[in-house]
Amino acid sequence: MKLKTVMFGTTYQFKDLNEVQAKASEQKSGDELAGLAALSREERAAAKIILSETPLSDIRNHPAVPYEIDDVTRVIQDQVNETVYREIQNWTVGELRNFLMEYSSTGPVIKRVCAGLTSEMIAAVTKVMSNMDLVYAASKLDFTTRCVTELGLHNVAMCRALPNHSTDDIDAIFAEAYEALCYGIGDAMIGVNPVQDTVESTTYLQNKLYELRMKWEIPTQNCVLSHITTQVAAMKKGAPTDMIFQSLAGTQKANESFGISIDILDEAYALGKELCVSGAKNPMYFETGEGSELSANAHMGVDELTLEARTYGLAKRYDPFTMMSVVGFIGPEYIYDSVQQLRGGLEELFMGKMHLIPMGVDVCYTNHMPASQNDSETLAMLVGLAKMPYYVTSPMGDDVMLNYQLLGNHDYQTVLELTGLRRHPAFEKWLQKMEILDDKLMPTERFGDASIFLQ
Amino acid sequence: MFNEDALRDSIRTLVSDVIREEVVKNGGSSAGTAPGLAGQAGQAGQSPNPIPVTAASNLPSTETVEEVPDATLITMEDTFWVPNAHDEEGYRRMKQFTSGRLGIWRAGPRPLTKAYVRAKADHAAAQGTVWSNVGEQVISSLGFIPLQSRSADKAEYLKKPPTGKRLTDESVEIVKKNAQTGKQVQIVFSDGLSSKAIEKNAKDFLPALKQGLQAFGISVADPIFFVNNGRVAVSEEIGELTDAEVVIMLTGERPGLNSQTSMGAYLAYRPTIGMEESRRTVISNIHAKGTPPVEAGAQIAELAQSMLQHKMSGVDLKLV
Repeated sequence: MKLKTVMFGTTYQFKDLNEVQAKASEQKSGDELAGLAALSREERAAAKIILSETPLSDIRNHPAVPYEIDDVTRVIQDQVNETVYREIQNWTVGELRNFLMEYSSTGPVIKRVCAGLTSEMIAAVTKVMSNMDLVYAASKLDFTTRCVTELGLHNVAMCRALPNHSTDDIDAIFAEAYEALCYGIGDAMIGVNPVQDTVESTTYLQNKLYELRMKWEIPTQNCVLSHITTQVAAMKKGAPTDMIFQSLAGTQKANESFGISIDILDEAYALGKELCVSGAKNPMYFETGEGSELSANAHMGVDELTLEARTYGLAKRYDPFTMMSVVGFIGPEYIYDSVQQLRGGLEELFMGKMHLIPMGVDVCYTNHMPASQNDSETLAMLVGLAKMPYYVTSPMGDDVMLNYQLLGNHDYQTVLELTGLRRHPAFEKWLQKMEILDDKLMPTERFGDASIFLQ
Repeated sequence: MFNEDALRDSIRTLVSDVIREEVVKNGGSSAGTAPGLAGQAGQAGQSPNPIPVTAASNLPSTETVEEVPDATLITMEDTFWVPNAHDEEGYRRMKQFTSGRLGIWRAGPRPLTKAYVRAKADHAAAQGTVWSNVGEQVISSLGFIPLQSRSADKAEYLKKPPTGKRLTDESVEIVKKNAQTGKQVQIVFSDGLSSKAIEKNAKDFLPALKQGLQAFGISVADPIFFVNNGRVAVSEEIGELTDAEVVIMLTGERPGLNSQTSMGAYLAYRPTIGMEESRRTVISNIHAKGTPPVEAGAQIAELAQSMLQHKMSGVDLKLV
C-alpha cells in the first residue's frame, strides 16, 4: 500500500488509505470538524501525489468501511462488473484521470469503464482533478432514464418546480407551481417537500398534483418528498405516485438514522415498478448532501467526499430516474463558503455521472454561509458547461419553506440560452401550445405571467 | 485560511463603499459611519484599521440631496410587476397565499432591476444579522449578564458548532459568581444565527414571559444571562451551574429573505451537558409576523409550568 512520500525534503506518511483519501480532499469544513482534513496545503498535496500513484486494486481491496459491517459497502462491491474491473485493476488513480481526459475516451468508452469502478475509486480520481477537469469529464457523459417522460436526453437540461409552502397550503403550492410553469420550469418534475409527513397528507398532495398534471396535460412527473415509508404506504392505498423519493447517505449507520435500510429501499423499488401510475422504468428519486453522515455521527472516520460517492454507489443499485445533491444546504459546518460550494457542486455532478446516474446539483446555500447569489450563478453556468441534466429553481431563488437560497426561475432560462441546451422536447411543445414559448422557442409575453393558469 | 481572508476583503470593500456613499450623500462634509457593518468587520476578526477617505465629492454644492424611497417596505405578497397580466386581479389574489417572489416579471430572461436590488437588500439583511452581534447597550438595558462561548469568532462559531455549546472558563466563573441558584426557572438568551432577532423581540417578549411565570407562582432566577456566539446547547451548562429546574433558552434563528428577526425558544427540564435533543421542547418562529413576542411569552410560561408539574420536557412531555 502506498502511504508515504517525500516532498521538498519533508516526509509525509499516512496510516491507511482512508487517511490518504481524507487528506487528499479539497478543503471542506466538514472534514475539519471531523478532524480528518489535511493540516497544511503541503500535506494535502503530498496526499494527492500518493493517491494518484495508488492502483485501483488497492482501493477495491480496502473499502472505506469494512464489507462485513456495512451494507453500503456490500452493495458497492457486489455491483462491480468483474470483467471490466480485471482489465483496469492495475491502473493507478492518476492513469484513470488521464484516461478520462483523452480524446479517445468518448462517453460510451468511459461508461463501460465506470461499470468496473467502486465509489471509492471515483472519489479518489475526483481528488486529483481540477475544476475544469471535472466539468470536461462530466460533459462527456449522459444517460437516459424514464418516468412519465425521459430524463437525461442528449443536450437536454430539465428543471424541477419546487412549490413548497410552510403549512402545505394547497393554494400556495399551486400558486408556486403556476409561477414555475409560466417560466417554462417543471419538465423534470413538480416536486413538493411537504411539512407534514403523514400518509393522509402525502395522499392528498399526490392527488392534487396528479389533477394538475392531467388538467393541463403537462408532460412531466410529480413527486411528494415525504419519507419513503410514508410514500409507499400512500401508494399502496392508491395515491397516484409517479416516483418514490428518499434521502440517502453513505454508511449503513447514517441510513439507519434516516430510518431506512437496503430492505426498505429494495421493497420500495419493486413496488414502484409494480404500482407507480407513471409506469416508470426508473421509479426512484434520491437526494443527498455532503456532511449528512457526520451530522448523524455516522461518518466512520471517512471524509465527506468519499462518503458522498458511496451514497451514489448505493443509489446506483436502484437505477434512479434522477438524483440531486443539495450542495450548500446541509450547513457551513460541512460546506463552509462559496469556494467549497463551487468545488463541491462540480465534484458531486462528476461523481454522480460516473455512477451512471443523470445527476443534478441543487446550486444552493443557506444565509449563514459566506456565499451569495453571484456564486450560485457562477456555478450554474459551470454545470451548464458540464451538461448537467437536472436543475431546480424557485422564484428569485428563495425557498420560503426550507428557508434557503437556490437558483432563481430566471436563471434556468438564462442558462439554457447561454449553453444552447434544451428543455425536454415534449415539454417544449407543451409550452408552445400554452403560448409561453413561440415557434422559435423564445419566451412570449405570457412567459412570466402565472395568471394564464387562473381559470 | 484563504476563505476568511476573502470574506474579510469583501466586507472591507463593502464597508469602504458604504462610507464613501455616506460621504457623497453628506457632500463630503463628514466621513460618516456605518456601525452595523463596522461591527461585522470586527466580528470577522479584522483589525480596526481606519479607512482613509480621500475620495473627492462629485456633488456640486448647488445641488440638494434627494432621497430614494424605502424599497423594503412593501411585502412580497403585495409586490406585483407583471405588465398586462392575463388576470391581474386573480394574480394579486393568488400572491396573498405565499411570501415567495411571484409576479416579479423580467427584462429579457433576467429579473427586473427592482427585483434584483430588493433581493440584494433582503439578502444583505439576512447575512448581516448572522455576522453581527447584539449591541452592548441592548444587553445592558435588558439587564443581561454577558457571557462568551468557546467560539473565538463568528467564523469558528459557524464552522465548529461544538465550540458554541460550551462557555469559556471565565464565563463559567461569571455564572458561578452571579447566579441565583435553586430557582425554578433560569432564562438565557444568545445571538444564535440572528442578532436582530434578540434586538427586535427580547424587549416585548421578556415582560410577557416574566408576567406569565409570576402568574403561575414560578420563581425566576435573576440575573438573566446572554451568551455571545452561543448555540442552544450552551443552556445545558448554564442549567447545571445554576441548578434551575427549567432552563428557557431564547436564540436567533437562521434568517430567511423574508424573516431576518425570528427567535426560537428551547426549553428543557433539568438539562445536562450533552443530553439528547429529544429532551428539548421547541417553539420557533417568534417574531412580529409569526407568533408575536408577547403571545409567545405567555405560551412559554405555560409550557414551563407544565414541565415543572410533570418534571419532564421534550418528547416525554408530548406523551403525557
